Amino acid sequence: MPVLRGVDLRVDRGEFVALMGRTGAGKTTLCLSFNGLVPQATGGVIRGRVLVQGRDTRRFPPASFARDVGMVFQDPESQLFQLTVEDEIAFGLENLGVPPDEIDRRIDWALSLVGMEGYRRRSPRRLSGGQMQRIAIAAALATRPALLVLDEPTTHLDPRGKSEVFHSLRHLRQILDCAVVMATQDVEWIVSETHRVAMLLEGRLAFVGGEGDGLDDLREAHWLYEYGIPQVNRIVQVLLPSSIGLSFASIPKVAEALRPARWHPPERGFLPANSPPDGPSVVKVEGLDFVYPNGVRALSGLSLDIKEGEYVALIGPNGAGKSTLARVIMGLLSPTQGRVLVCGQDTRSTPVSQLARLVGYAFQNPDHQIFSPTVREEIAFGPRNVGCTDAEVREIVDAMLARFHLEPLADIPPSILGYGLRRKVAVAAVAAVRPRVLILDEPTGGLDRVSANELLDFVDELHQQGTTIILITHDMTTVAERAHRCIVLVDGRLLFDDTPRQVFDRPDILKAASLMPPPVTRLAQALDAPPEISPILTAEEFLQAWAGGPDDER
Amino acid sequence: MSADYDLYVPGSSLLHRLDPRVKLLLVLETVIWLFLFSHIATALTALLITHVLILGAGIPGRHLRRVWRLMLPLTLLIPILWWIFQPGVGPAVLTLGPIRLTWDALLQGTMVALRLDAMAFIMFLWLFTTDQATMVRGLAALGLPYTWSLTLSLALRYIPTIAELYQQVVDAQRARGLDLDTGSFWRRLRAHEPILVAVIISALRTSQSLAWSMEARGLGAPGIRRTQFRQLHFNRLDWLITATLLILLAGSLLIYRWG
Repeated sequence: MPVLRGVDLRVDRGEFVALMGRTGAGKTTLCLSFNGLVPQATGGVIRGRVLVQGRDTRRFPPASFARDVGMVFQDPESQLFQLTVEDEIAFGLENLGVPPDEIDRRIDWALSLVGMEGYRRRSPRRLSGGQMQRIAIAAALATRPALLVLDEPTTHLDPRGKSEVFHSLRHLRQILDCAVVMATQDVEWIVSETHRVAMLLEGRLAFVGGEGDGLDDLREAHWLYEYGIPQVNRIVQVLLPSSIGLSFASIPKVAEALRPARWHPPERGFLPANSPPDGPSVVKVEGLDFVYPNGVRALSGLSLDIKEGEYVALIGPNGAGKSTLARVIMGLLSPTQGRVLVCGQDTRSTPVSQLARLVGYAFQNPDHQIFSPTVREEIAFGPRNVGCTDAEVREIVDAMLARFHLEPLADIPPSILGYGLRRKVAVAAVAAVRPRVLILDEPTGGLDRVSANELLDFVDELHQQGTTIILITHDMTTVAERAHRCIVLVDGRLLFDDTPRQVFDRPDILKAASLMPPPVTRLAQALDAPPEISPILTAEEFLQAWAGGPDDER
Repeated sequence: MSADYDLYVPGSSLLHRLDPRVKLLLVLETVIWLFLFSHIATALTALLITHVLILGAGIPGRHLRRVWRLMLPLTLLIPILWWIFQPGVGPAVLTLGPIRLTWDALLQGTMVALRLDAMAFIMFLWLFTTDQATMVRGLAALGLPYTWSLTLSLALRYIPTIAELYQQVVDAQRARGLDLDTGSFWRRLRAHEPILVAVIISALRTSQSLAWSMEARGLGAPGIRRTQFRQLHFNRLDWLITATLLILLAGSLLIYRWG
């Protein structure tokens, strides 16, 4: 099956093109074709041609394009392979035969482009995700390429890392005139930076458009809404249906188009999004300290009580201790101090294989758990481990396959599926154990908005059936729309524990955790929403409080 | 979570700054001395000097204790085996059942153990004060082909990554109810299958994108002679120490031959 079909694209020097589209739309394939890795290293058949600086990428080995094309990949871990930052940057230059003293100058120059002077002798492995990606960008730029290609460079980063990378890109764009092609899902950022948006839809270039600020002239197409700024796209769709391009514009621009503000708060304010259930506690954390064997203190003095049926969002920057807490709850790590009770059982004295019946934990990277020869067996693994009978296992597996529309893939090895599907299989496999508490670690990372919502809708379903959800995420839209409780961790300490509405009303807390309120909240703030309805958390709330909105019957 | 696989202790002492090749010469020469003059006094002197050098280079004492802990089993086992199998001749100093201990054997066994300790410490002196990148460069400068030194630095870089990956996978599978702790040895061994398969698939994924990334950055670009950015430079101190070491070595060999 063709991954790309009849794609025509021309990128000129100095231009910045954002490549958008769903997971599996062919973005990576297109990126890799810019230096001939597709098809030379990946295999496959290519019809038509790709010319870089006039040279056909099929006629020369990919390595020979290193001078013309710099490439930054998604996973920082697998593209920084040297022992020091300077060796990392020198690598490409050495391969091109650049003399040592020139290499030395270029290292300084490339590091200054990404604002990382002073990191020359550091080990890339010990840097944060955002820093690693900045080094990868510096390494790609050191050869002074005519084209910089970035394949979703911020997918694996927390908000702080994301903004680091975006700021570096902004800075270097002011200095260099190289062309940039970036595959990304980050609409909000790209609209203020890019010249053009290229949209891939099932391998076809469905749309290329937007000169300069003219992103508004996007052709009419309903699916375009789905790719706009989350939440804001819905508001544009309803309130400004004639200017579809605005769902891609920046929040200040949308605010401007909506002015003058027509706030018309509902009389009783908003119903509390979800009132917290008052069931028995399922996870009880008491005075928990956790210190890793190497002395790193990951959690300090943490006490929490999570009730049955709650939907808890666990948020905070990378390194705040979120995953460590999840591992302690799962019994994979034993508390240094204090204790954790899961359904009344002390995790210190209960074997993990026992706790696995109560708690399900979907890890951040689906590839850490996928091993079976077929999707069916992958899903059956958990239920079998916790002692379900064959008949039960079959029933559960069939239900999961149906729920996730995975039936046609049931007998295919999950490891060869695309990333979005692997993610689905991994979550289905964990949910198949039917745990009372389900912990999801960044389940939507690397997924497009549509796939992410499919997955989250399934989580909502489990929640409605009574499963307690603990969701680790950096995506504030999800937190605002779905969770009823927010636990904010910073440096291993509990900073805040309340409803999403309370959290997004506290700029100080958000700042300390380097988080931003969801887009609709910021849009409402830009339009000076009255305090009695602030903060607004969802597009539906926004429309309810806006005079002339579709729900306005007054 | 991450165990430390790099023994290097950052610092800026003389030993840290010394060219890795000079330090390697020091290691080799110390080993030669220990064998040329195989006497308990040599081993003790070498131990004393290495300790002074390591502490003098600003390496905290706990690293020394770590090496001692590592060496302890051998340090105890070697003399005991020596005493059993090489009892030596002469009057017994001590008789313990079948073991007849002569003064000679007592000294020899202790010397062999201490010599091994001294060799370990001089090796660790090199490892503590030389970061991995410099180490790889040192070996490359000594004539190791580029692909070998690239492979070596990749191994050093990714061993901790693979170890972390392994732990992640173990955690992920245990969270799905995989029981690694009960049952027969074979059952437990079989339980590792899901872990190994997932680790291998993940590692292959990483290595594939690693290969792409290296190719994209011009590895093996045709018609280009690869340059090398960091060439190690002998400064005056390096020459001085090398010369001293070589003179000492020549002197020692002379003493050994005719002394």
